[in-house]
Amino acid sequence: MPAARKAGPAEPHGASKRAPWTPGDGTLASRALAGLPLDVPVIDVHAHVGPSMGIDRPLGVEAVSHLMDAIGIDRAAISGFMFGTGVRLETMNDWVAEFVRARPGRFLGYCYVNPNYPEAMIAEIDRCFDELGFAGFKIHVSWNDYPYDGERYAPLYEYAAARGLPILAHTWGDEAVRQLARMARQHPGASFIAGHSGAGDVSINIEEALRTPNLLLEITYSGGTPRMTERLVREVGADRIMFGSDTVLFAASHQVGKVVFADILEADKAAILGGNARRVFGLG
Amino acid sequence: MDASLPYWIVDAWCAAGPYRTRQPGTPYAFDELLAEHERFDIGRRLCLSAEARDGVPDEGNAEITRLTAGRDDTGAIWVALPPARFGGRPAERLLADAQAAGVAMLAFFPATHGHHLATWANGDLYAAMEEARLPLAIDVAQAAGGDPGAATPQVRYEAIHAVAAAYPKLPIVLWNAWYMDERLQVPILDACPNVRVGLATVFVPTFGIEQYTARYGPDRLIFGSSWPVQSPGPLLTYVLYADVEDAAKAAILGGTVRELCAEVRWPVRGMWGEGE
Repeated sequence: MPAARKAGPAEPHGASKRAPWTPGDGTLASRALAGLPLDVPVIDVHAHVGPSMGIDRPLGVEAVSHLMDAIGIDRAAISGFMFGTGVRLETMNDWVAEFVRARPGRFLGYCYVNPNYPEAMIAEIDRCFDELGFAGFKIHVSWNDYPYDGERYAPLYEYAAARGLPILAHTWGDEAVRQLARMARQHPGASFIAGHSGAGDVSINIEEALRTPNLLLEITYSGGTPRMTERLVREVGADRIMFGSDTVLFAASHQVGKVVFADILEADKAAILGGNARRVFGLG
Repeated sequence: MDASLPYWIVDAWCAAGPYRTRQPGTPYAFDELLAEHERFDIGRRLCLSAEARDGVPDEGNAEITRLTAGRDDTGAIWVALPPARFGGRPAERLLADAQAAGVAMLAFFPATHGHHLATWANGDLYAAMEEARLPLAIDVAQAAGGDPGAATPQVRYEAIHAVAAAYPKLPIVLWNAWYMDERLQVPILDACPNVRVGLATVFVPTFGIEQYTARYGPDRLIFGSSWPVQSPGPLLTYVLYADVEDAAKAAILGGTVRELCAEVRWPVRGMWGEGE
């Protein structure tokens, strides 16, 4: 028995080398394994800022920016926490505006509205885009307990479609995906992004994406089901898949692994990590 | 940096065999686990049987023992049932059987297998494990028994704390924690140095490695993948991108679990090769 044997801090074990990447080979996977920032444009389309119930983490602009720098995330599209003061629309969107003002171009603001307060929606939408310079919408079906195909969301969809704005929506491989897809087909001028694609029954996301050209699939969720990214690329196409992290709930450093280690083309990884977001957000 | 990662990596929480919630087309066999680990240069692993976890522990434990026999790179985690039940093995016999198989940990899934976690029910087993320094792995979501979704997180952590406090030299590793469990974990980690947290499944909080390492040092977090539910790749980047010293990453990725195995009263299979 190897009593009281202590493990060395950095003892290579010399495992076999079947990995399709090797350090220094220039692939995104090798950079990630070396802990180096990714060297393609990376846009996180699903991130959160501001205070939240239940967690005690560094949440300021500097902390979040430092985190992004380490991974090589150039931009993040952000909304306030749905877990926070969800009925206080102005407060949540002001947290976002603080980041957008502090790092113009690095943070893209999502306007969050609560459909249970329809009397406040239009004014807040106008404020978000006319005064705060936001870039899209974030909506959350379960937090607000209101379906995406409910009539109270109609003004938001019409606003987005008229201006070509993206709408990120929380989904979980469930009926909400179908609701969102129906709305996407009715409003082809907007890009609808189904958040957390891969969680729940992913076949729903795939089926709806195939019949809805302006529905995109964003892949953050806490798990990393093996081969999920490969399946989405194979069945839907890399140009419809988007990287998101749900930072600062889940870790972006975790979520990025689902893309860089996927058995797909490097060009497809680049599209998922940022290329598609550039197109959807009109970043040139 | 040479051709391999400069860390000695152990996937301390992975499973082999068919499992209940598999999505069609995804891998599950032991050979597929080994192939996945080779992709990431993960040289060693502690593995349990999915059948033991989801179905019949004795059958699954026998299978994982057979799969890992003769391997110096794979240790076995047995799914345990309490001695206090009809036909239950006394604690001493269970540990003797575990010793004979070179088992690295015992794991409890109280909800799936319908038993208590409480000390009054399992005291003999906990005492024997503490004496043997045999780690106890607990699925946090199941710690309170019953429907995993029914008990509040506070009740689960109360149950865990009761065991950890009563048996302070019993190493406990928590798996399947939630990404927002930090307020529930901090008081237990403060009070119970014998408790560690596994990185896997949904325990991937932003700044988690940084905050836990700053408060507790590098030896309270353990890398595991939850394969085949989750690929080890994203968990690896979670550690490798963390803003902590390389020594802390090395401890998380394999050093700490190797030390836990070294403390077990018997030689644990799979942690040391010939001549190590």
